[in-house]
Amino acid sequence: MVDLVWASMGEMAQLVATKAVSPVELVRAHLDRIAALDGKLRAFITVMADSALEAARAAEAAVIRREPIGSLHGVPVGLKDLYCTKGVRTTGGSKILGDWVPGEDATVVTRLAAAGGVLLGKLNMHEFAYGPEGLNVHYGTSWNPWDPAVHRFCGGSSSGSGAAVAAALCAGALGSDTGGSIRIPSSLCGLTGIKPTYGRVSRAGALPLAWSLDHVGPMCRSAADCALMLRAMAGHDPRDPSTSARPVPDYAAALTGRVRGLRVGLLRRSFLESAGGPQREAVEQAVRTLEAEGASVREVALERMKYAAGAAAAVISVEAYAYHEPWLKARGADYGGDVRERLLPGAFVSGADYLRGQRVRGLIRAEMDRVLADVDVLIAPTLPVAAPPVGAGDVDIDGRPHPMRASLIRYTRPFNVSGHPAASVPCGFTAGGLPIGMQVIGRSFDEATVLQVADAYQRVTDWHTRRPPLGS
Amino acid sequence: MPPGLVKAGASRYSPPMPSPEAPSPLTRDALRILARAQGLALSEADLDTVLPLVRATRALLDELTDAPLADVEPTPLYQME
Repeated sequence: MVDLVWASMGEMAQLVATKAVSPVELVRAHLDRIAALDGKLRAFITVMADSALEAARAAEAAVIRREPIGSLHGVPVGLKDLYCTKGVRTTGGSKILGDWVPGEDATVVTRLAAAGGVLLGKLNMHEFAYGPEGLNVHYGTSWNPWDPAVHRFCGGSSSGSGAAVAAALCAGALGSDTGGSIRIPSSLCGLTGIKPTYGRVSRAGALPLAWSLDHVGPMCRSAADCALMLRAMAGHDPRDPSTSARPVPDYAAALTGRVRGLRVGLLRRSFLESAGGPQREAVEQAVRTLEAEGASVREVALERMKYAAGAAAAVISVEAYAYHEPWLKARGADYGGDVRERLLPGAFVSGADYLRGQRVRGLIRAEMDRVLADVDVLIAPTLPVAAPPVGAGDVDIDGRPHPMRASLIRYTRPFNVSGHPAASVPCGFTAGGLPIGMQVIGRSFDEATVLQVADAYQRVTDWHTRRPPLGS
Repeated sequence: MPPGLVKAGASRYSPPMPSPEAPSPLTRDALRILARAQGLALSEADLDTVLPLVRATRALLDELTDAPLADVEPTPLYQME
């Protein structure tokens, strides 16, 4: 039973389709694991045991009746608790929405269910997605499964998604990413997660943090699983006017295992050079691996990156404040202190500053497009550090203290600003056994090449197959 | 060129614009007034907490003032492609 929960999403779907495993058995195995481990991990805010078992029984009946089934038929998935679920409370990790029950599903929830995914429950997160640590004063801070002895951050804001997939409490999960909230927990929890291009996946029914920076994407244990899940979620949605009408490719078909002839740009300046020693070493080694597989590698620089932090601050502060203003005025005391403090400065940013930030985004995006005209993907570290302990105010990078939040989003935020697709892929471990991740960044709407590179790397490395020391 | 105007660089359409003047430093009293004007009830303790955060945000925004934005329009929120 233990091995069943560690199977890939593709393997689970295959086992179900061939009647080798019942979806009911699969869901029960995950529910048992949640019961055994989640008291400590705090990955879930709401476990949907009854409806999951009901869906599993229906999935089983469909297989027996030889009905057409979807690519995720019977596969248990988790949902970050900012995706609306009809009839199931959706808290956004907050006290303010602690009892809110939406009347409709988010589009991505509907699509995952239509592909046969069994919705196991709603996952913990940084309150209202406004924090890269995964801190939550209302539901408890998720415990990073890679260190059973020390309570370490999973990363945020999709902290529960990181903990749940890493500990095999679900096979894959939905995250969301405004400044790194898919890639940061993917890196800290040893997962593969992809923030698709802005406009690739519908945001309808997802609680917003910043409308023009929010991205919806999957967090899984491999690039192949991300390909499967992303295909099921992506595509135009009339409920989200920012979604593209471009056709969604078969991402799994792009996973050729080959990178020969691909051009890789290594982001050293402003990225790799400022990461910690273990991260630098792991990413350098990963690049050598890609080179050995036939990719050509050269260093590239993004001169406009110096504006990314300012542009992101202008945009996120105003958009987040605009959404939260009524609650800040009426229920300010119901926010966690860290989130309220982060929201309030948005009240004092002018419209001109906001639009300057949006204009600078145009500069950054144009430069990214220019650089990506000469290379197929970019490589950078996801984070300068491994999972910090809960309660730490600073992170240590090569013996020097750096502010936690700024350090965690430094390498991920630029690609929210530009909107380009970016994945985090496990590429090593620290001496203390904590995962390290690297980013693969691609051209707009070319998630296929990003996943191709990630998958090819995973075919010749085993970092993504390692399991956290949970005792089972 | 009149004093205070900057070159428009390679811009085709943007006329020269005056250099922005540095804003005066934000004080606790000024923040209190701004908050009240927006209907935000901030306690004295709130002001102490929020003031450095607002200053830090403004410092980040100041980093954008030298960005070459001639002819660059805001990134559209909705990109229909």
